[in-house]
Amino acid sequence: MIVYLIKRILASVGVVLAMAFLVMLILDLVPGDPVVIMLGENATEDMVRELRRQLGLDQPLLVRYVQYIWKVVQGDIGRSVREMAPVSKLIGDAFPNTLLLTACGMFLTLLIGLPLGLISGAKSGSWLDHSSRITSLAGLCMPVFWIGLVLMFIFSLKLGWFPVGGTGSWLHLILPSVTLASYSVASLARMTRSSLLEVMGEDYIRTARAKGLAYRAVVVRHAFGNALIPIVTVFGMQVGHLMGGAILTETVFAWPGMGRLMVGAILDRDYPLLQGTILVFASCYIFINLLVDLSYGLIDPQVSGK
Amino acid sequence: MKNVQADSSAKKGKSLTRRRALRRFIHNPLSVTGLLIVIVLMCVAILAPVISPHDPAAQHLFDKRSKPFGKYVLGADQFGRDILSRLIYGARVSLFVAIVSVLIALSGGIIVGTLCGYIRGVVDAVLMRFMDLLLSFPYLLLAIVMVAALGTGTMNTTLAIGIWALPTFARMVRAAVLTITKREYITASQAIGTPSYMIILSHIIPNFVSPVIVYATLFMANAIMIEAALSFLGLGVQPPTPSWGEMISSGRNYLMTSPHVATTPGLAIMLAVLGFNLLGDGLRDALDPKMKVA
Repeated sequence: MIVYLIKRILASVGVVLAMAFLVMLILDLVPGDPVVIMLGENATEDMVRELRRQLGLDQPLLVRYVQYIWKVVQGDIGRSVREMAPVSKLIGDAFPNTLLLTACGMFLTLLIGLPLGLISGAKSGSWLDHSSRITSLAGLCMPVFWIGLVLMFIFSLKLGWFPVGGTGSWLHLILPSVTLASYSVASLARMTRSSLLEVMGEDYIRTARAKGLAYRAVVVRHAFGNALIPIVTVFGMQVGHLMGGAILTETVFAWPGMGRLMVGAILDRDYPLLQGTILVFASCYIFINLLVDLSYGLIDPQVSGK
Repeated sequence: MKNVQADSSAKKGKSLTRRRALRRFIHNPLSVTGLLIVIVLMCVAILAPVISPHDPAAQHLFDKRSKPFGKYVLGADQFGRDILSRLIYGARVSLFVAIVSVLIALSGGIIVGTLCGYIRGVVDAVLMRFMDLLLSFPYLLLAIVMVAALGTGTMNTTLAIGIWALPTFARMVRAAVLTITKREYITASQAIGTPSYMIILSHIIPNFVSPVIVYATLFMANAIMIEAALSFLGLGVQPPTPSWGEMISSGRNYLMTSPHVATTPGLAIMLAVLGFNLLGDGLRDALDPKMKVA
């Protein structure tokens, strides 16, 4: 198990390193000189040369990559061109906000999506099942940012229950988390339902029912545990969705997080900042997926035996 | 003589499964609804210049943000442009981006997947590792990185979405090719000296058509959603080209006084995504009830 753990952690670090290289490579393919674009049309030759030297863009790609990784290891991920501040500080300010938002989204996903799917699967064909399926289908088809705007219109502008945007109190957190969780709730509920339904068709479920066990006990004790692996997989995938959704939700609710930082960095062509935000986002995602993979071993003893 | 009989019965079997699939599809009201929505959307997109009541770019400055069900069926936006006409032209943009990005992802995915699955070895290992790497970006992030490099605009958005989706298709095709190449008729075909490209074209590609069609349909829904998201962030289709995501983005400043400007395009996105999702689910159930597409 420990060997497996170390292997998986090393592999994840490898993926993060490869990703950082790929992002650098992609950004290197930008048509036109990024330095000229950053400085604007009126920049003098000297200014361009100076900024290029500051950003290290006069070096070949591989050298820059090794330098970048070396600096990252030392905790320095460059300076933002636009904000004139270290990228690590900007990210340090924004990251807790995104983490809070994503964590609330995850919490809501589990709190609503899981029971919804379980009830739907256990009572398939009932009106509860139908209404939960229709709701989740609708949830999958509505764009996150649109849900955010509609919620904002109803609950902030018309009813005045919640603030329109920004951070401060826990009231600020509610609408963005609900918005962010909407897609994942729907997705998790659907997966839980179908996974549970599949397990409910197995022989051992029929045996459990035949020996007179109550339906509820069969669902909770026999079916749910066995339906858990695909559910956890989908939940892990939802984490990626939540992060992408956070970019959109933050834009809607003016939430000062990583997503807004990233979008701003693209629009301003602030490459050091963009690279930093992408690196942090991607590492988090890979780390969470690592946790999901490791959790299989806890759920299913067959997996850890491999 | 025996051969001919076997051949015709095989054909009969094939047409029978096809007819069964069709029957399964037609008898599912949800799939038919999906198909209808998609057909209507296609017609709207193609006939946009004929059916739209106004010029989508014409600014009627006296009618700024006028309410729905008045002079304009769905009202006018902040520049006094007819929202219905912009939605109709927006369908064009959305479907164009979705279809072309699917074609990019599909052709790239089929080439990469077939090569990897058929040749195996180093090519397979290197290309698939690269695909895995692309897949390990969180949702939306790879598309955002691509846009950051390529720049905004309709064509770049399409390309970014296509590249984002390519690895999934490649993986799916490769998995299908791997299971097919193990079959005996492929070995037999190789034994009688059929060239590889003939085997790929006549035996392998026809065998993964149905899962790929299903996934491509479901992916259209995703592509529409991502295009809208990118345009909403200001990273996708740029104004003045009417795009649903961009309409929501520019209308949100008037949410308090004129909520219809920002909210109606969302309904269009929802309808389109719903249509492709229902159609994809229906196709999956009809073509192969056991197949699983996440």
